Amino acid sequence: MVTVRVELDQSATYAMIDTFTENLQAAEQFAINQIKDRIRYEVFGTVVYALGARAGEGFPRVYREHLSNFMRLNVPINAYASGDGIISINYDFNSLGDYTDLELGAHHQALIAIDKGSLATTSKGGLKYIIHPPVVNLPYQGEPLENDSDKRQDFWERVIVDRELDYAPGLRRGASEWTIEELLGGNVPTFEDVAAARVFEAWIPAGVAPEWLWLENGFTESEPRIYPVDFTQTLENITYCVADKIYEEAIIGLVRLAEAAGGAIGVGSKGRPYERASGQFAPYRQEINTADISECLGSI
Amino acid sequence: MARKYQERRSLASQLYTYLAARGWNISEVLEGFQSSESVQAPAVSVYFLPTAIAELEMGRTQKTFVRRVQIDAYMLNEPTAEGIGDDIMDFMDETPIVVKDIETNADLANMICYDTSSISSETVPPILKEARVKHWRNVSKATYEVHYF
Repeated sequence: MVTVRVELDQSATYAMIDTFTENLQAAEQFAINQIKDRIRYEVFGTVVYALGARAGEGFPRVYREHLSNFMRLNVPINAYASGDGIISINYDFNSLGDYTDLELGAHHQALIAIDKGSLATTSKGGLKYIIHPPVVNLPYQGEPLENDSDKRQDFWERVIVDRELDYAPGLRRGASEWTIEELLGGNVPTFEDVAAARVFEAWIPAGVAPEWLWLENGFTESEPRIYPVDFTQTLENITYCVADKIYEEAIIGLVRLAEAAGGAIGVGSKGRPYERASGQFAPYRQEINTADISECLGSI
Repeated sequence: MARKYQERRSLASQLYTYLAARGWNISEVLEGFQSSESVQAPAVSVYFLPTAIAELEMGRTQKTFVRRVQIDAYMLNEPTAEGIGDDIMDFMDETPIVVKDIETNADLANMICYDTSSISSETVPPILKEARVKHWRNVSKATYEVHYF
């Protein structure tokens, strides 16, 4: 299990606001909600897009869009104050999927093995044509494949790096073999096609986004390479920075507001400051909503 | 860039010596695997992960750079991938790297992993069960600090 966990030690702030405890928990909860929202709606997407671009062409835009959206909707963020000035924020990636889920997107359009014995033969003993040979449609369910792994790797590398093949990795057709174009009706998939099929036909229906593993560990063995970009560590760093900034504005700012008003500021049950004399809300909440986290995001 | 290049070269060189002393038969430690060919196990490769953190030590002329390092070990089966991963983590934890100038061999910096908790390791299965590239990959990561003299 990969967990991103950030612990923000605000005990110094707590000591500072010892005399200002009225509804402090509510204010703190307000800050925590802000932290959760901005991690979900700003940090996840920014980090995925920035690191995805650095990971190289092996991590195309369709992966970035899918992972970003999936994280925003599905990764639970837990954030709470332990009461001693420690703010804990954690989220784990269990819901994103594992290496088994990556395999759901494997072997797109690979030929499925067929029982040769069931095929009619020509008078000279060769196999007759198969007009539409069966191919894998994602998600891959473990169907036995026609070609061995070397041939399929060659085919994949042709798709990726346009490498010339010495042969066509197809079914036997009499004395010759089918060409790739014949087999796939002239529609040899590009890498972009394969990536899109993985997302839309395998991972979205299965409710997973396992491509995060490629951002975390890279895929450095063969083409198309995905360069490792330290996904979870970067998220942890950015989360810490964002949480620190928002907390600073939400709590320390609140204390300063109260101090500046000579204690004439109270805190409502929802953490919103108000002027004691008039009972009106102090103009503060909007500032929290717009805490500037660009410095944090810009460090990616 | 030149700085990172020399750090990576020094780390790879000392990692090779360390692994060889522990009986791992690796022909060389690669500095990032960039070939268009598929990697052939057993192999070890060093990557510097993207990071922009630099700390200036106040009142001193030294500069401290923070480096996130990933070491990939491509092995033929899971137990050996786990095994070499353990040794790589030990290396990260206990071996200070002397960064040397590639041309003059002069000592330039020390590169040390002070934060043991930053060291992690995960063994990744072959992604495609039927693939020709059939090996297990151990991914070890650590945060180093580089102190230039």
